[in-house]
Amino acid sequence: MSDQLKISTIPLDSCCGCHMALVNMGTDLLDILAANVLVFSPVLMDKKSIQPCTVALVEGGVRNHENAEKLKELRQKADILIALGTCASFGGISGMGSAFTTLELLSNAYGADFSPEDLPVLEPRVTPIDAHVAVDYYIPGCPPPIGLLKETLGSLLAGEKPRRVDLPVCAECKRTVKKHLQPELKRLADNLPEPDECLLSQGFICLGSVSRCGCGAVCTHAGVPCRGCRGPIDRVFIEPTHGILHDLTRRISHFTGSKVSDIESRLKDTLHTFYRYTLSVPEMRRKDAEQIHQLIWRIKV
Amino acid sequence: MSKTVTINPVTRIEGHGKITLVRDELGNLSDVRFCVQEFRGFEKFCEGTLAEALPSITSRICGICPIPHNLASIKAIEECFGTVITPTAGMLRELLALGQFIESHMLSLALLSLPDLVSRDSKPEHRNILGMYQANKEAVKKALEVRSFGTAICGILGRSPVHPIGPRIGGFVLPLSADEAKQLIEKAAPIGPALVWFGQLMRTLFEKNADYIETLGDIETSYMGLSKNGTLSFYDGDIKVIKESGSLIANFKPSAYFDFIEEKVENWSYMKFPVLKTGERFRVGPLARVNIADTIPTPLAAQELEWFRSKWPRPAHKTLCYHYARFIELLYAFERAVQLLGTPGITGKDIFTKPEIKAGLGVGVVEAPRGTLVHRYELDEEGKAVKVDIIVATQHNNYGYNDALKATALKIIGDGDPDENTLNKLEMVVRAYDPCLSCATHAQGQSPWTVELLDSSGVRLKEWRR
Repeated sequence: MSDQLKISTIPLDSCCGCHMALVNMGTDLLDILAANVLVFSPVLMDKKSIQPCTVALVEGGVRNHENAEKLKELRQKADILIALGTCASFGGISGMGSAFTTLELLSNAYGADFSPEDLPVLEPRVTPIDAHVAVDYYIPGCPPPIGLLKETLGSLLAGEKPRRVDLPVCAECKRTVKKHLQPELKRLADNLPEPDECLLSQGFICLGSVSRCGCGAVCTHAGVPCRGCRGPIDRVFIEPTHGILHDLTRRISHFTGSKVSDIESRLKDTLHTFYRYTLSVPEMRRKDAEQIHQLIWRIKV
Repeated sequence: MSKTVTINPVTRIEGHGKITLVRDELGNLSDVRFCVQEFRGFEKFCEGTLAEALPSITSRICGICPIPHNLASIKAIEECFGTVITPTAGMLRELLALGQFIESHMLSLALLSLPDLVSRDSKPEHRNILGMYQANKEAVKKALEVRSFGTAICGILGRSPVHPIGPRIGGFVLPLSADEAKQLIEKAAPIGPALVWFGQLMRTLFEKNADYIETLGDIETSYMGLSKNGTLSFYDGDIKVIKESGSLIANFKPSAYFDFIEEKVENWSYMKFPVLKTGERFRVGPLARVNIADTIPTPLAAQELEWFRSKWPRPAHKTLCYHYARFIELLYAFERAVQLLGTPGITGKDIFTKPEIKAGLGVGVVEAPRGTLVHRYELDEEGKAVKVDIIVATQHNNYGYNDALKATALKIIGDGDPDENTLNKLEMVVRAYDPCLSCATHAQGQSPWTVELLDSSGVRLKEWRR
């Protein structure tokens, strides 16, 4: 059949969780794959070399030179290339490795005198895939929400442009905002949030207001503050005067009447709280409104 | 001699790896090594993380078994804080762990490994889940239906797809509602019959492939795993180690793990080699746990165990028996999940104990589908991670892979070039362990699958990449 699409999937520097999200589609996935042609997918089949394809789904960012080589080869052979998940889109969780030198990372694991032989060479930092190749669509999420996956794949297979989602998680969150003057910043480690009130206004750091929705706000509804696994919304991402930490500290200040500088001095762990998924995004690193440039291991790019 | 054949990547496993075959001066095969190549650096970049963020960050080590990582992480923190969770929270955690076992075991069996046994002579392009789907839609649908029950448990209790947010330090974020429990019980109804049908398939496949079972990965080792009251346990219990003869070597509390186990380094692999301090090598995972269990308390699994032991007396050693043990555990996980869902306390509202943040050391041990998983944290007085150590199941099986591959290669690889079918047999040995190289690479990352042939001085004579 001529209208069959050739599909490829590949994991790079990742946990395979986005592939699991695909597999969790169950027979829906198999029906899609059976109606089209899966031409390359090392997790699912024995084809050993990258094939020409219509749609390529890439999971994971680039941690070493081999990731970059495979990615480039796939880009050359794919009509449409999709960043599947947050590691491919933004570097993701292991992007936090960019806060350390490769030597620090390796010697922590294997000792100071470790000398790897015949292994893929680590890049100085983790990078999202669009630092290496052109990306046609992004489906961020850790992993991407299954409804959004089905919708996006459905649109692509029908030859339509997928819907773009750019509202903050707050748009999907049912919690209601209240103002409290000067409350303490609370930690989830030893607190259980109130059931219906906005987590940020209760004093928990929640990234919902600066993060992209599409997840159905499952975390905040369960009483777990958002950590921005789908990355920042366009405003925060694109506008130079906005930033994740910058916008949030001002919002907390607005709720509490506390000074921004006071709030900033009470933050305990900026790296893993605010930049858990986006430390390796070049655009974010260059923003004056962000503190990423203070956290990241600084080398010439 | 200089012609290069490439195997890259080795397929139908979770992540990538590499096998090296070593020949001595006379050209005889002298060693076979399973190496892991990439690097992500979790233990380093987790330093400085607040305790409450560790379970969520470390679950991202692995998208296939995120729940065991999440639970081991929480247990380590709770041990450090001295937090004791409520009985309902304990039951919910066990149920969640069972959900992950169902999901992961069925993934390994149906989607990754069984194509080798179902279509043993078919071409590589048909030897996969889609080939099976086109040949027998009903069988694959049944397998996926079983798996979806596990996914439903993980989704409802995990509260978020794949990476869970439901479990928290001190218990759970939300109770299981009566509606949710009912939903799961209804979903369980067709799973029992599907598993019984699947059991027939397993026995048929094991009879049809008896030659593979006997020859591939034929080694004898000790075994390690969690055990509670002499039976299978995935969430808690003591660590038990038995000898290849079946006699007990050690039985200790998870917190004493580092008193009994040490890691060896081999200069040719990034993946360290855990052994007992007495030097004993062991294996972990489904076969280890089934060998360690005296009995299994649920009827279908007990019946299957009896048949298994009648064919392969305890302890069973054949590496491909990992698949059968995996199926027995799958039955147990399903039956135990249904039992728990029928326990009145499971929907109890008492699911949270307020933790008290303090400095200290905590060790959290659970069974992941692939074997024993250990998280050890040193936390400061703010509950920030000062040091993070994670030892994953795939690491615990490091000698297991290498010894089994060596035994197999010595049997099936002669002087000539191995063909695709022969190389796939080496892959089958690795697949039996269901290695999770996402996990193995929390430090090491992923690598392509290649088979290398080295001479005794380490010079590469040949490399197969596909």
